[in-house]
Amino acid sequence: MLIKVLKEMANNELHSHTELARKLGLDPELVKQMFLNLETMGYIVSDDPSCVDDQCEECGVCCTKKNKAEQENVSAVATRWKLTEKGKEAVLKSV
Amino acid sequence: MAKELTLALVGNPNCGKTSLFNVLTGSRQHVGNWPGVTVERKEGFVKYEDKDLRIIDLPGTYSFSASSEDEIIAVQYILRDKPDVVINVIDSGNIERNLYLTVQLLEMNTKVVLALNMIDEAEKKQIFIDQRKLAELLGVPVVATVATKNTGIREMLAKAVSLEHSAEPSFKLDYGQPVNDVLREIAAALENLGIANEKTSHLLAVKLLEDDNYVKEFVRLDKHDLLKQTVQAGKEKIRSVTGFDPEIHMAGKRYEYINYLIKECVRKGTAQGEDLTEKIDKIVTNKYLGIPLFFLIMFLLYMITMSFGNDFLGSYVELAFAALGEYVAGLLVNAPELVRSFFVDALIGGVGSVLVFVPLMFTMYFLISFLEDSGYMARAAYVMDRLMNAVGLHGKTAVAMIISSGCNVAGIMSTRTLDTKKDRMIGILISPFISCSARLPVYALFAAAFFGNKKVGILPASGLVFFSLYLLGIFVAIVAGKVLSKTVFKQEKSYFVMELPPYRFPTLKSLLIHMWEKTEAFVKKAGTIILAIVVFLWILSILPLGVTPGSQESLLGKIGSLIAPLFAPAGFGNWESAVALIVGVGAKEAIVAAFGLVYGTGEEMLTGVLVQYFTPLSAYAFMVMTLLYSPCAATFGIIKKETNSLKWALFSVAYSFAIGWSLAVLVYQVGRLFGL
Repeated sequence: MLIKVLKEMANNELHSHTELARKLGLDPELVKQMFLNLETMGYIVSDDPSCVDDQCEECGVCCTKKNKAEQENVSAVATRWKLTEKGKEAVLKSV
Repeated sequence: MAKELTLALVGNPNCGKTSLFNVLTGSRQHVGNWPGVTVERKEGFVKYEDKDLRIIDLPGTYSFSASSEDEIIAVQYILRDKPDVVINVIDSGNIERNLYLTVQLLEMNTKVVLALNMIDEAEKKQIFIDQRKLAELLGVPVVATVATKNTGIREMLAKAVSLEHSAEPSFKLDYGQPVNDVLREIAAALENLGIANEKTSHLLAVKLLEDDNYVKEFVRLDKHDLLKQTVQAGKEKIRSVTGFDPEIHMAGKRYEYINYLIKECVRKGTAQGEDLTEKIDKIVTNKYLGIPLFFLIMFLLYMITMSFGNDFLGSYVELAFAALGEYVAGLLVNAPELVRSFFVDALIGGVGSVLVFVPLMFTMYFLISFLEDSGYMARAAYVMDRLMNAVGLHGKTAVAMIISSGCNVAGIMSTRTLDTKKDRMIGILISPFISCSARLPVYALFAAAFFGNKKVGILPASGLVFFSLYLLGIFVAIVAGKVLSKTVFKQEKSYFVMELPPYRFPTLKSLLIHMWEKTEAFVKKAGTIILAIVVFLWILSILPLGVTPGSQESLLGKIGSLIAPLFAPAGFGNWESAVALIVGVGAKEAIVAAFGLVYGTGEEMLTGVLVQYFTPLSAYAFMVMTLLYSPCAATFGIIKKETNSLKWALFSVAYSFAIGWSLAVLVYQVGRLFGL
């Protein structure tokens, strides 16, 4: 099931959690949790990690990502993801 | 003596576990650290009937994958210290996201009570959980609780205590073949080596297949070659049959099971707000209507910002500063000309040139905040992303570009809605290419002088000239954005998955707060830089002392004469044009006033004068230069503030000047080739 999420990400460039969930017949909240898991397992990374490390303190921009990351787990609000090498391999194997 | 039972609280962060712990233990708790780490350990006591219950609050964790200190502590405690019962606290409003931990917990074959906490919040969100069915499918007691209201706590304790003498559960998730066979082989190997018994071997086998570092150490895998080979062989077998690592395959199976549990046990009613959201989104995110609707909304935002914020409110600020200037000029009527000019022209004029933007900022941020807080901006990014992504840009960059057509400063400030540093930087660096309203007086002047009465077919030539400049600005912005995304901000392709929140009507209070926060920053920081630049230019225009202000003999004029040859290939290599462009660095609309100053005529007579110094081709080239060259002082100040870097602000000046000059030269030289 997680592979299906990775494949959908790789096939299409634009998703909302709701749209992905509808395509896969899942609950949108479950899809969000899957993203957390895929990140923990090293198949995806959020696109701009520098926005949530210590550099935020020096950054003059009060961005939405910085504000939200301070309130919740960042993976839940990141809007861009990258497949890692591990993720790319998994997608290739699934073809 | 009353028997003591140990209950461990386990759950995701923010599930209400701490509230539950506090309600259970009250003041009978103490806080320390888990051995060897800085993670807080909370332990407390509660009496239930004749039982003393020791409550251990384990760190909040999303899973038992042993990838963080918190997860290792939780796994270690359950495996090693073996609490009598584990209370799995669940945030009922987010049950889908909490059940992953639950499934892993059940695989540990420990006695579990499920506490569906915050059940009141879930019901408000129209989430209804069939507790009886969930208990039946999971094989564990399920109790609804509201820890903050002390509801369901006694029932939860009753269930926990009732498990004291019950057999330990034996939960085995079906991972499919060959995983089930591999797990049996590894479990058998663990039991043969005496490392585990039939109650713990399955869990350890699962963890070894998932490459769990804590468990590998726990069983001392490196010391047992046969076990190590069995695990390795098992992994290879799974990879060759399924094509994937055991870890992702097994996690996928857990999600299949969780999905089944949700379908069987969780009902979500459609809240009225969500229903309306879906109806609106059918139009707003429609494949054909989404983009035109976006442009319509942005057009309205722009019109309101410019007409109300700039023309209406801004005019009062201008009047106020003009009145202030007259008043101060009156006060200083007997002061030396230089002193009067400094206070009236440089300080008041300079400060006014900053503060005149404030009403525009207020209006724009009020409207942007409304679009953000209402949930529309997420849709805007969603519909524009496909279009912008085709040129390597983020969807929300389109919003910044459109707002820049009113004011580049405002457009750059609006890039704060962009989520990543890369997208924000690109948005900031391309916004100055968009033709802003400050450039309009320059276009109007030249268009009137050279294209006023001409037509192309039935269309007025001056209108086409205006439109061509807007299009050119957009084209250059997109190309620059594409180049930047492939070079300076090169990144691999990334995938856009986002949240579309339900629509809601924002509160006036939050709108005003957001509006003030963003505008305040502009006034404080940008004003210092803009003021400094304007004062500096004024000084150049009056030195050496005694010269006619703004003449060729002034320092400003001499600098203009020095750099004028640079613009000869573009058709306007005269010192007056160079001075105007230098003054335009302070503020683009000041270019017109600068021409008036250097040609010694009022703005209304300028059209007649300009035809003596420009041709239609060189006039168009000058307009291209005005469109694209270095950003104005206000924009420079904002770029420096928003990027937190003087380097990027200077880069913006240099690269936009290079692009402006190159295109102006190209326009002029190609035009000449065609005999224009």
